[in-house]
Amino acid sequence: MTAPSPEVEILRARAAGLRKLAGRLQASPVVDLHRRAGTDVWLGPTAFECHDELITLGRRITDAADDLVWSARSLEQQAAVLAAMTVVPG
Amino acid sequence: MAYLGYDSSLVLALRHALQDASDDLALARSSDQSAADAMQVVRSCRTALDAWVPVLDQLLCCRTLEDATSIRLDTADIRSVLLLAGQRAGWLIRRDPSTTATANRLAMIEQARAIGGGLLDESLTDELTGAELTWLADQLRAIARVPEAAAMFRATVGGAKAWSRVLDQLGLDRLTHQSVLVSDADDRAAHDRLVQLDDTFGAIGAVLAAGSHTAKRPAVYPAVLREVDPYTAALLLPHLGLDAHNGAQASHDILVRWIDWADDRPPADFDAAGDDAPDLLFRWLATDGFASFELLRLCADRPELVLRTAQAPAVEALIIRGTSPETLSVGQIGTVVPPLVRWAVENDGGGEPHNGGGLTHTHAFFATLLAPWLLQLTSRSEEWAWRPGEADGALRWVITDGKAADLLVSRMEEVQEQISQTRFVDAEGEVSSQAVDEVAGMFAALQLAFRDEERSDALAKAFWVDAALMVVGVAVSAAAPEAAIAGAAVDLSIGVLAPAARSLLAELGLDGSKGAAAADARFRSRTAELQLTAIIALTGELIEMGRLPDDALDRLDVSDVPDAACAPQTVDDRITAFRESLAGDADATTLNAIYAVQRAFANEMSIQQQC
Repeated sequence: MTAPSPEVEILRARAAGLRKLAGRLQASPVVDLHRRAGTDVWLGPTAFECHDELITLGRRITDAADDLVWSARSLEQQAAVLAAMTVVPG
Repeated sequence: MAYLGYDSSLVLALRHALQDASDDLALARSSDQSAADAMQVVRSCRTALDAWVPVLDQLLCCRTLEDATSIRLDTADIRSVLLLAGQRAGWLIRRDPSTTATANRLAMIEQARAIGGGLLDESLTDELTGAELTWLADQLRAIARVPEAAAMFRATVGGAKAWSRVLDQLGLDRLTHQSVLVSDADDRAAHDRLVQLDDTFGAIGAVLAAGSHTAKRPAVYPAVLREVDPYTAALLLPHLGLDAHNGAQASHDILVRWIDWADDRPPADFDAAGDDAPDLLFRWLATDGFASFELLRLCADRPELVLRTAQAPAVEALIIRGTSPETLSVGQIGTVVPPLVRWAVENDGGGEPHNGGGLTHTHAFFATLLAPWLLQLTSRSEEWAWRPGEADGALRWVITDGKAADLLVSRMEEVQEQISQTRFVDAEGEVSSQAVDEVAGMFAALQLAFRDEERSDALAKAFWVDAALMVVGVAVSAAAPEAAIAGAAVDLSIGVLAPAARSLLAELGLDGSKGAAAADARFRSRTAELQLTAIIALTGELIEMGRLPDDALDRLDVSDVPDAACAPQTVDDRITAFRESLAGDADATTLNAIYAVQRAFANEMSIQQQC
């Protein structure tokens, strides 16, 4: 069995980094922050505006995390293909 | 002006949470190019979060004395309703620093909940000012556009009983100001109040119409209409977006409750001046021909719901619209007119109208209504839902009133369209005996009715001349289609008749002007005069068209009818002889047209009736 090539190692490391960042974002307090700004806390145009924006921010962070996971998966697939090409049957 | 209410301790907690979230995002780092977009999102989110921190700080640490001033909302003003519960719970209230009043989904739902609850709070709705009503209507229309908010509003107000409390209060308010306007039409404040209340009813209707009763169950109307006072229901109904049938059904049910005094008490508008519930309903229904018809149909078993409820103009508008041939078939109209006429005949002079409603000139109104339908009153009575003998009775009942009789004959042109569609002579030049008999039957019935009721004034005279010429016009178009326009009858009057015919009619006193007495003495029969008038007019037209020889009229015997003779029979015999004298000088179509006109005014049966 041969060791993976440096390119494969790099791709896998990048994928791991992206997954870690995605996990961090998914766990961010921003995702649920709008729950702290509901109608039990305040009422009025500013309150509704803030609540709305916090929902949007939470959604943007979640979407960004999803994009990172997708990118990580893509890198992992590239690494797998590269690894298969460099293995000599034997 | 918008206000912001808040719980200081919870806002402080929010401020900390915002800061913590921003700090947490700050720890997210990556230099991978595939994470560039995500990091851009992180940065922009941090910026947005950080922008809210000073806003909250401003609330928590008031910077100026003015800002620090606590505002007390008016607990009787419905415009404060969103924050009143918070104020009671010890929240701080201040002017909202936001410069953009956003109407997002959450805002609309909260507003709907607050207003729904507020409307049930008598301390808020006891005396709504004009400004409050205007605000309320605006808010409700906005709520109606957001389905979740509309649902929240309906759920908060609750069942039909709760709705009726809210709506009847507004209805009574309108009734009061309507009465003020009746005594002083220039009262600007009362007028404005009425407009504001109507607008509020419209907005409440919009919220109700946004509900499931129309979208999912189109066959029903909101139950609240059965709970509120009929006057209130009549105010609300037009705004519920119901189709013609359901609108009419709801109107019918409201009318029944109104006239029967549901719950054994008079409706709220019973002693009030101005419009009653039926007036409002009829005026609304009359904007839609099919809805008007539907109500008349639903009221066929109880015509008094139509004829003894609203004021005369509203009743007349409803019936005219609901029997208009522009939107309804002859058959449809024939299902609703006879019951109305029957009730009117049976209750003629029968007491005072219910609560001031009902027709004031019943005969005249029905003369106007029936004028276009003389065929359905006479020879085509089977097309309508008359009982045996009823159609003729209706005709005679109408003309017992002199003005109504005048109205009936003065609107003769309205029956012309039906008669002009009658083809006396078909494409092959053959006479249609059915068509001729129908017209003959109509004229015979009219003549008998007018004779029996002794209606023989100048207007009736002119009417018979017009009637004769109308039939001649139909015959001319059949004998010479090129003379008519697109199948319509040739429009004839004494003034445009061929000169030879005009002068002969004048000489005989048959032109509807002076000399009528001489004609009566000469021919002694309306039928005979009418038949002769039509034949002379037709002959004149056919001579002008070159279909008869120039001396054709000379062959007609117009001498006096002998005293011992039956005038209709004598004149008819002379016309038959005249027609036969033309046999060698005219084609079959022309002769058939003359025959059709002869028989349209007198046939064997009608002559027998008169001799």
